[in-house]
Amino acid sequence: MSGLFNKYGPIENVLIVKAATAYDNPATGITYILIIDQAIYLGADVDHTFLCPNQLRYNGITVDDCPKHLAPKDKPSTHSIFSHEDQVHIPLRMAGTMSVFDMRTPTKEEIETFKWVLLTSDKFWDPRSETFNEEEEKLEYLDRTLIRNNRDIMSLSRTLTFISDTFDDYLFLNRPVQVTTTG
Amino acid sequence: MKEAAYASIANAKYLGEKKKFSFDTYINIHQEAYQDLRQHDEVIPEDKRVRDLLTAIKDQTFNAAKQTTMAIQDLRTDFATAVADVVTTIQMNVALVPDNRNISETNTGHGRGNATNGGRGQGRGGCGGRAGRGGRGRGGNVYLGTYSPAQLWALSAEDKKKVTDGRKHSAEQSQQSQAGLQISQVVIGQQQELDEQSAITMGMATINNQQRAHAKSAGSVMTRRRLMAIVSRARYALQSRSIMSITHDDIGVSSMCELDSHADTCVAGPNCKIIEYSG
Repeated sequence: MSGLFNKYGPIENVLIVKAATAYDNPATGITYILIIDQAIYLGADVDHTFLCPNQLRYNGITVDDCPKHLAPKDKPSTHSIFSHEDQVHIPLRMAGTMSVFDMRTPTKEEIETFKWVLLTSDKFWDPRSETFNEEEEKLEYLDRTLIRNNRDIMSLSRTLTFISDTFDDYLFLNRPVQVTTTG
Repeated sequence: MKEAAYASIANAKYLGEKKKFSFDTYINIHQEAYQDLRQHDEVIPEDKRVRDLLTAIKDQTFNAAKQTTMAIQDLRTDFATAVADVVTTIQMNVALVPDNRNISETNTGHGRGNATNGGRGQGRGGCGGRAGRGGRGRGGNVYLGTYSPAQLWALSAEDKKKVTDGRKHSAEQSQQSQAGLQISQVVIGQQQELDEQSAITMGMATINNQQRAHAKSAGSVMTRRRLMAIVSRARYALQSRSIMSITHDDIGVSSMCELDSHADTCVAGPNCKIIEYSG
């Protein structure tokens, strides 16, 4: 594991764990046990927990980390994390410029009692996996194809229109005159 | 035969544990006598057997057990149960009571056997005893310890002056006696094998073999003896203990969880608890 600055060097021999944390919903008072699988455990070496939004999305969790006041008007943000499977909604708040929410260490009884919400999958998580890039390129290709097809369709449309207009002009000029009446 | 059995019951007395006559021996005498009587169709009621058994026990250490047995009807009317209860009670008492130690000899270096100093050791522990002991009047010494107002009032003017001077002299000698202490030893006679590890040494302050004027009587010496040190040997080291587990309360940590788009992996911080290790 390495940080943002290369001069600090990487941390070796870190633990990959399945960890639990407690989240108290301020609106309902219900406590949930959030399960973070395939996570690096640093414990007290860091001040707080970090979540990788894409790792959550990979597990089917909707992460809307766009602050509400920065969201486009035609697409408002919920600024929250939402688990469709468990129907649990975790609103986010701003700490400086970062989106955060509060959680605490659960007790053994809480882990055994309260509902678990799986934020990340237990499948092996490779941060350097090319799968994400490949999946992204597939979608890029589809988008490009669609755009090209749209362009072809527009070109054909313009051709047909031209043909139609030309044909209409020819017919207008060569239309037969049946009766000519002069006064 | 019957008369012999009755006689053995009547003559059997338990005066305490002896080398050739233990409590078991005493019980066997009773049991064999009752068996002989039964063979001759002599039926002795159970309560009488118990009463005879307890009556002939003269050892005072059995008093509590005897009273307990007589107070409980089930014990009082069943010879075998009564015997078992008495034996159990005595065994418990023996286990609880610490071993008595008898001091066979006290060597204090001086002050013992002086006929002029009067008797020692009598009346200690009370003011009246103190005032009356130490051979005052016989040996001419005046007790310098604590007096009640009435006792002090009863002293003559000469004795009061002796008390005052003696106390003053004693205080001076006490200050000078920080160095040069002769330590005498108390030898413990009984169970010397065990007591080797706890021999007690006591000291008595003398300066250059000059005895204090008020300390000539052995009683006074014993009263003023000072326990200088307790010397022990062959101490037993406590065995190390293995602790099976240590349980401590959870100390919860509340902190933020940050959505970091730059992070390529989730990082569990201090507010997380590990459930299992994934890799």
